[in-house]
Amino acid sequence: MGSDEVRELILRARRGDHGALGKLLERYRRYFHSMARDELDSRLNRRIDASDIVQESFLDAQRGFAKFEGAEEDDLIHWLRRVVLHNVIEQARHHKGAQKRSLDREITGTRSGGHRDSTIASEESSVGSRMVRREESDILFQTMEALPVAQREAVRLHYLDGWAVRQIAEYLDRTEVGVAGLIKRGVRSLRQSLSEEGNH
Amino acid sequence: MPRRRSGDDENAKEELINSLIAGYLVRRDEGETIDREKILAEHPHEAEALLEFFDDDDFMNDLGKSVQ
Repeated sequence: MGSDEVRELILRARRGDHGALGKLLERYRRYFHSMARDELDSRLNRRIDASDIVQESFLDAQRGFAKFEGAEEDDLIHWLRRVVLHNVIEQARHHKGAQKRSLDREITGTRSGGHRDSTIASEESSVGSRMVRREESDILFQTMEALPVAQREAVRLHYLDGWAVRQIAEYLDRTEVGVAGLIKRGVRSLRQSLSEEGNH
Repeated sequence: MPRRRSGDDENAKEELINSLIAGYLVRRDEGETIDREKILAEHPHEAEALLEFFDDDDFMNDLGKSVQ
C-alpha cells in the first residue's frame, strides 16, 4: 500500500467510512502489537496480553477518530502511538492497583518463579522499549509545556527530579501549602490533557 | 433551602485541602509511610478531593518512573 493510498483511506475514514478506517488500523496492527508488547514487558512482564491493548486502542481510535487532525500516514501513526501508550499506562496502573505489587519490581523484570525469557530480553526488544519510553517522555514534556510556569516547575521538580516539597517551596519562594496547590492543579491538568490526547 | 457556598468558603476549603496535601507530601518526602485511609477518615468532607489527588499522585509517580 503506497502513501497515496493511505492518504485516500484517511480521507475516506474522515468521511465516516468505517471500512477504510478498519483497513488502515489493520495495516498497523503488527507494529502496535510489537510496541505494546515491548512496553508491557518493561512494566508488567507480559501479564497483560499486548493483543488486548491493541484491540482496545483500535476501538478507542475508531470511537475518537474525529479528533484526529492529520492527513498523512506519519500523523496517523503518531496519533495511534499516543492512544496505545495511554492504554498501556492505564493498564499498568490498573494492574498495579489490583495486584498491589511494586512497579519498581515490575520494571526490573524479576518474576516470582523464574527468570525472564531470553527472547523477551533480546536486544531488539530493549531498543524498542527505549524508543517507546523516549517517545512517552516527549509526549509528557510536550504536554507539560501547556501548564502555567509555576505549576509546570512544581510538577517537574517533584515527580521527575525528585525534589522535596520543602525544597520546591524555597526555590519558588512559596509556602509548602502553596506548592501543594500548584502540584495538585498541575497534575490534574496534565492528566486531563494526556487523557484527551489518548481519547479517554 | 441549602445555603449557597460563598467565595470565601470555597477558598477556605481549597486552602484546607492544599494544606492536607502539603502535610501528606512533606511527610512522604521525609520517608514516612502514610495511611491514606486514616487521612480520608479524619477528613470526610475533603475525602473526594483527596482521593482524586491520591489517584493523580499515583499516576504521576508511575509516569515519572517510567520516563526516567
